[in-house]
Amino acid sequence: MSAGQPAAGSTILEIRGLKKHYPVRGWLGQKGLVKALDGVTFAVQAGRTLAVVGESGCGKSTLARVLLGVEPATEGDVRVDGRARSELTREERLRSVQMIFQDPYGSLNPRKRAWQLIAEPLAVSGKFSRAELRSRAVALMDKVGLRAEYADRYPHMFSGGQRQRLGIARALMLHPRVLICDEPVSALDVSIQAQVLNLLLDLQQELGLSYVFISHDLSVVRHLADEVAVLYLGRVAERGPCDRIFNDPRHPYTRVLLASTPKVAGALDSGQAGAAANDARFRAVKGELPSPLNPPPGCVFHRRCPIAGERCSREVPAERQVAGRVVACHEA
Amino acid sequence: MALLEVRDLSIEFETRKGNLKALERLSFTLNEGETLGIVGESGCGKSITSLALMGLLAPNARVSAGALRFEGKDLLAMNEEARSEIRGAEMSMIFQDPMTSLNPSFTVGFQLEEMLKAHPREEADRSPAGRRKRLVELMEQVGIPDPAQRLTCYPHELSGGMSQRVMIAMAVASRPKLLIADEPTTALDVTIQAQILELLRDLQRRYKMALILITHDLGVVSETAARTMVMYAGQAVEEGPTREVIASPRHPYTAGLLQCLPALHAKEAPKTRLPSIAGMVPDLLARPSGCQFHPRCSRAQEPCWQALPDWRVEGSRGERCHFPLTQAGGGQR
Ligand SMILES: Nc1ncnc2c1ncn2[C@@H]1O[C@H](COP(=O)(O)OP(=O)(O)OP(=O)(O)O)[C@@H](O)[C@H]1O
Ligand SMILES: Nc1ncnc2c1ncn2[C@@H]1O[C@H](COP(=O)(O)OP(=O)(O)OP(=O)(O)O)[C@@H](O)[C@H]1O
Ligand SMILES: [Mg+2]
Ligand SMILES: [Mg+2]
Repeated sequence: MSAGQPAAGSTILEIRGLKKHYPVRGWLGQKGLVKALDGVTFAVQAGRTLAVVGESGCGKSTLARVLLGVEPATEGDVRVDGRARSELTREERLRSVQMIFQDPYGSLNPRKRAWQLIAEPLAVSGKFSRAELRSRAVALMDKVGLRAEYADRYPHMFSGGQRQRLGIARALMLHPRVLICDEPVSALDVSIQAQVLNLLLDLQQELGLSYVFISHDLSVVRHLADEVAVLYLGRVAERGPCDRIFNDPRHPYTRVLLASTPKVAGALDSGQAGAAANDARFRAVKGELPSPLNPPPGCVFHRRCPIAGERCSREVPAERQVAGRVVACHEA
Repeated sequence: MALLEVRDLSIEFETRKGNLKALERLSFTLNEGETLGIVGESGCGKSITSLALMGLLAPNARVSAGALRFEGKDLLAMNEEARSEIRGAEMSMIFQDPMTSLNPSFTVGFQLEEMLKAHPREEADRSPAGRRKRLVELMEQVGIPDPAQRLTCYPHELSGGMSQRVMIAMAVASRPKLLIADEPTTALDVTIQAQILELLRDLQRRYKMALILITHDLGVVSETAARTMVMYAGQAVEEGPTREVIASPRHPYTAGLLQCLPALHAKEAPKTRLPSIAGMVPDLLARPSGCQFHPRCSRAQEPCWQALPDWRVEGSRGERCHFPLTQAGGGQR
């Protein structure tokens, strides 16, 4: 299983200036361009977790699809282990990046048994016997905490948390190095959510997996991530080590997100929140995510920004290094 | 006199697989201007509780209660006409799914205006011109920019946050004494959620409206509700002032829920295993004996599978547990 494992800490997945634009027709028939991703740069280290956070529509799932390779980028390349993905063979591509989905039910064929679903990615190669496939699937079920007796059940006979385990087992079938997790626990109840997060942590330890963990839940991200990229309307607002971003956020949007997250008062959470998270200027910020069809000029956040200056409405801020992370803000 | 008194409210559903006891002997009271948060996991009975209060349960439901009183009036003894009058004017509800409760074939303005016509609150509500003005005011109040233009929109032309605000405008147009908000922010981003919660707090202060806030997010109740009730498998397991319930939970389920939430500014080291509650919620058609939580509870002993604990009230707090956690004993995360 650990055959091709790179040394921990080396870059496994890298994107630079990644763009994904969708041509669309507006409601009056005029042509437009949705810039779902507009110049995103980051790197994922082997055995580590990069979390991608941001509001609905900021481009998280688009990013997942481009990283997975099911959609081509409009501009910029995805590099895996130092090589452009276009240079990889089909098999190498499949083994490099796999994905688990938010809705484990919708993404599993209801007419297949659990072991068949898990073995499916391997079965397509046609190289393995039915018995071999089944035994590999059962071994993986054990790894993700599903009983072997459940191998012949259909997806609807599993609970939400169990279905998510099924999805994880299936994604692991080809021994990928990187697992993209698009909101993997959002559909689960809190008591089940912790079980699945623990499984992801265990698997990372054991297999040296890297995760791109997409989530809107900052508490979960804080617990799981090594690095964080905060996305706003297809661009990175701020990215860097998890500790720095949470303890000392520099981009006003990061500060808004932290201040808006409801905290369980008295359960140790509140009070210790950094001054940044409690700054009233960043609470209950007005307005909504602007339309990606018609983004504001200058900094895309400036109309909602509590500290925007005159320059922000004219000039797109470039990414720059500030206090050990990268920020795209004139005022940071 | 309490605004709302609920005593031993039970709901059963006739289903093809048998009789489903979805809610069992739920009790609480709510005073004018008060906020009660109801939290619990999917399927624990939050929505049906609010539908029962509104009188809007599905026809296969059987409701029984020791008492179900609104301003002293017995809701269960009322005929449908009287009930529907209260429903529109005195108590209103924001439903879990905004798309199912706004009619897609009418403009937002039309739907709001119908509401004002049915339950006029001010002299202005009785004339078309007066209503027009009130509509714009209402839309402004819930923070919708460009309100006059937005009134001409159909629901699908609004974003999630916008339709949620329209729902709130609709629900408070008649200045109800009680507003039931069923997961009003679950589908929304945190920045929009913060705006909506602020709006609800503001409306509540302004009109002394009582609020039942249903959510599965302990952070949301913590920031919004003075009192909280925790439900599990169709039963209340714990109720009390929110701060106390969170700081010193008495029911092991509440304590477990609090422990398995990762914290935004945590003491625990990142990337360590979180405490979790083993197992899953029971099938309501095959309930366990005794305490419903006992199969997942690390403290369970013989009495727990023998008998369902009584609802015990002590001061401002209530709980349903044979062996409640004591102050010193934990629950503290
Ligand atoms: N195939 C497509 N054609 C046109 N526009 C698209 C397409 N896919 C995505 N978009 C647009 O790109 C933007 C980003 O969408 P995406 O699904 O990546 O957001 P997201 O961050 O995953 O949101 P959510 O949190 O709601 O899942 C949105 O404005 C969306 O409408
Ligand atoms: N008309 C019905 N017939 C049969 N069972 C029903 C009916 N309506 C609700 N139930 C059941 O009653 C239980 C409680 O449902 P309810 O909708 O109140 O859950 P909830 O706590 O609101 O969950 P969620 O957080 O998912 O919204 C569930 O098990 C549900 O399947
Ligand atoms: Mg998405
Ligand atoms: Mg519900």
